[in-house]
Amino acid sequence: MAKKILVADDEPYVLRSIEYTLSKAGYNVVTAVDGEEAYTRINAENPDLVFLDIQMPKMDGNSVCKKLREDPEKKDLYIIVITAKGQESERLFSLECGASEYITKPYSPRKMLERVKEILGE
Amino acid sequence: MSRSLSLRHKLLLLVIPLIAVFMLFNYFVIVAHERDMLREEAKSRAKAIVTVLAAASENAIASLNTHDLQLAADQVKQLKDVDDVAVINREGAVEAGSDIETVGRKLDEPLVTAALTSGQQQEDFNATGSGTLTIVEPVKIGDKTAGAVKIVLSLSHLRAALAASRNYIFALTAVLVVGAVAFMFWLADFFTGPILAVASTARKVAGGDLERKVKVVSSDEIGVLADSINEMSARLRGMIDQERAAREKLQHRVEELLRLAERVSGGELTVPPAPEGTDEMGRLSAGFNDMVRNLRLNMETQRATLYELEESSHALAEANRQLKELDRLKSEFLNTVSHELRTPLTSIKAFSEILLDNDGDDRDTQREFLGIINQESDRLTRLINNLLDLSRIEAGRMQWEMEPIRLREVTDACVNATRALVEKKGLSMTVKVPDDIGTVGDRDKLIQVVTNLISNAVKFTDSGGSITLSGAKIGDELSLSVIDTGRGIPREYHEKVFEKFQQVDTSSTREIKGSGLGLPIVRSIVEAHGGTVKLDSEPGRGSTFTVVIPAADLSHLKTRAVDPAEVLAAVQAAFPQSASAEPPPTEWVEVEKPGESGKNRRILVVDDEPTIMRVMRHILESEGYTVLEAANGMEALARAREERPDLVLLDVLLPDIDGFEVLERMRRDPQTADLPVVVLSILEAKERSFRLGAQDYFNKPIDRGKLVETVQALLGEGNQEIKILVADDDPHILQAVASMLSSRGYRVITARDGLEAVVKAREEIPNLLVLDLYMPEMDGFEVIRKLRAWDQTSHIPILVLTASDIALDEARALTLGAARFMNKPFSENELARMVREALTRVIVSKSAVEKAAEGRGFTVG
Repeated sequence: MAKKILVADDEPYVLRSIEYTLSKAGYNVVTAVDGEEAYTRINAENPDLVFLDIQMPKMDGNSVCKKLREDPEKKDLYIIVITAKGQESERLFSLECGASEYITKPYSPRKMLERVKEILGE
Repeated sequence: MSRSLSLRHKLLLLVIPLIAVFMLFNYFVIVAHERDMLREEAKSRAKAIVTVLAAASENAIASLNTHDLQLAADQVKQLKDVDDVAVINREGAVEAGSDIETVGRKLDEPLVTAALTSGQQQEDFNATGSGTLTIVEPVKIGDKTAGAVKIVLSLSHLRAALAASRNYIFALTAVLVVGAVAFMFWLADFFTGPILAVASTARKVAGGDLERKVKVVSSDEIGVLADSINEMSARLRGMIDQERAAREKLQHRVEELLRLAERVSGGELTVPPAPEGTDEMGRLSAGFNDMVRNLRLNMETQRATLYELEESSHALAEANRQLKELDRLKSEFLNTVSHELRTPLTSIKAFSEILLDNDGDDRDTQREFLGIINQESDRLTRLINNLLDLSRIEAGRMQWEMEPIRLREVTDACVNATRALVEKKGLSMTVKVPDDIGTVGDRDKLIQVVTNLISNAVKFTDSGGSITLSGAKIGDELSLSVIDTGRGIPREYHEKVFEKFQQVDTSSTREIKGSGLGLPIVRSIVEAHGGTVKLDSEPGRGSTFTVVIPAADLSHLKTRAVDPAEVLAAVQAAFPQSASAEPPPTEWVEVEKPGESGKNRRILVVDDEPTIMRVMRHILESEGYTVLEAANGMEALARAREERPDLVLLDVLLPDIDGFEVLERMRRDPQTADLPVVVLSILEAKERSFRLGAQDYFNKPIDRGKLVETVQALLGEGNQEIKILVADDDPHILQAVASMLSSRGYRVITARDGLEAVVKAREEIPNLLVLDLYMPEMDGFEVIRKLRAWDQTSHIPILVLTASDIALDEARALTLGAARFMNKPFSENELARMVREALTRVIVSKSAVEKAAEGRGFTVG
């Protein structure tokens, strides 16, 4: 059974590129376009891996991350935040909010896929 | 007599001996007198006896009757005190006598002899023993001395009587003396008693008993003395009372002063003033009051200083806060910019990589991805352009191409540009803009404003809605509204929408993406045109963005006013009298001065203090320099060698090696030995700096004007060489502009009317003319025409200062000679910037440009 990955980003093209890359690699991709939708869908779908854009409407990625970590079941969920901000402090803040790691826009879809494979143990 | 003796004793000592002497004298005189009296009495008795005896003896002698003689002698002898009797004959022999033994004997006594011979009575007083008196009386018969009678009287009785009398007198005298002495004592007491009483009282008075009075018993001298003493003591008492009262008063004042002084020293400076006066206390009080006043004054001054300090510290804190806020805004801005740049870049990168990696995709997918890449590239380009526009406008670097323009031209262009967008969204668009209203502005930028507003409206209006462009001229202003029937914007966001990267972040806006710079750019452009933009909107009731800019009456402009000839025609129509005499006009344009492609001088600023660096950067960049930074000595040396700046501004206190060492090493290194260096320091190190080879020295804090002047002088571009002619009939403006320019080092020439301006421009050939349009004698338009007509002055750039909002003036002046415009009032910095810009330009005829463009090429401004 294909691993399930949730991708949340309010930028449709960004979302499309990630979805395309991961789907093509055989993953089951679930998308969300804002923080609230991401949170709801993560709880509903129980993905193996989550990509969260930080700057999203309704609830930002960091808040989603924090809220997920409050649930003991989601303690070990692997969360990758996608940040478009250049500052180190912003990245650190994301880690503090419970992100497992972060990637900075723009990123290489190829490398992202390699990393996903590593994380999901394939 | 000793002085210590009392007056009584002195009197007694003086008077008692005097009395004694007087009494003794008296006594002796009385005794002597008594004795003489007794002796005289004895003598007269003896004489009587002798006389009687002599008379009795006369016959007896004559008869020589001795018996009788003897008898007489015996009888006489019986008489008291008769010691001896003798009757003597002529020969001196005793005839009869009491001493029988002598009878018949011649008495050889001188006394007898004398009597016999002289016939005169002789006497002798013998004081020996108890004393005797001998008298010899001659006995005469006729004239003849017949003999003599001698009698000797004993004086013993006399003596006894005398002694008795003497004793009596002595006793009397003694009694008198005693009496006199006693009287003297009494007298002395009588006189000295009151004196002593007075003296005693006086002593008591002297001892302080001022209540005591001398009893005045008489009106004599002592009474007078007593009176005087009483008066004196009364006076004394009065004086003492006065003195005491004065002392009490003084004490009271001293105490009061002390109380005041204590209050003052306790910090209370608002004490009432101590009563002043001409006496010492009064002067002391006056001094005290002065002191308190001065103290209060000092305190107030200090308080004021403190207050100022607090104020400035508040101001500093406020400035600091603002700086921090600015810093925060800056990093927020950078963050946002980063985000906005990275987002499209992410899509571009991702899809281009996907396309590169996967050649197995179908063509449609590839086209889709390429389309996304293209779209996102456009988005990125737009964003970058917007960013650049905004920062240019904000930094005042935007080159505005101001020209007369009809509003309708702008709206038409915008409607054309956005037609596809509007139709795609299924919206309708209505334009209600009169044909004859216009303004002076940058056509492209105004189109950008309206396009932004339209695309904004399209974004927020759902399909089926409508967009209306409505233009009108209201007074001197032009108003253009872009009205949509969209969802509207809540009031709290009305101001926010004009801020950079602020989007109304509600659920419904999720899908609507913009750069977040559209409205800020709209506002910046409109404000640069001297206008305002405001939003009127309510959720659910659509939004109306209204732009208001100064209007220009350009009813004569039929089409775009790109052709100066057309503008000129309009001007000539409006001012036929000035245009009629003109020959066909030469067209003038402003071009960049040849060889002056921006000064672009680089200055290396060496300072480890970021705030100082910021200040220096601000100062130098606003003067058009490029700033290179070095935060320590080694970096300074490296950058100086590698980049060879035109000038080095060197701080002394640096973290690694100090400024002096930097300077020393720079001078040793042939690469940097010739670089001009200005030392800036909080230390007083002028001499050392010059010795080490600095060109100039400044103490911090830096004076902007001085720094700029020095930098310009060292870079050989001092404004001193730049002549600016300022022409304005308003003396205040003339003065203000002249002093602003002189303070920046320009050489300023002034003219009060147009004629003077032309004359001076011809004489001086200034590098720039700052010109007022409306002046007596000759107006600014005529001045421009005259200058352009003469070769030597035709190239002079002109900066027009105008208080009028009449765009027509601008159009006319622009046509006459490509002047730059500046509306009054203006800031000093604005003026400086305009002047600086204008100075890099020259005016040439359009034909000359065209000719030159074929060859080397000026840049048309």
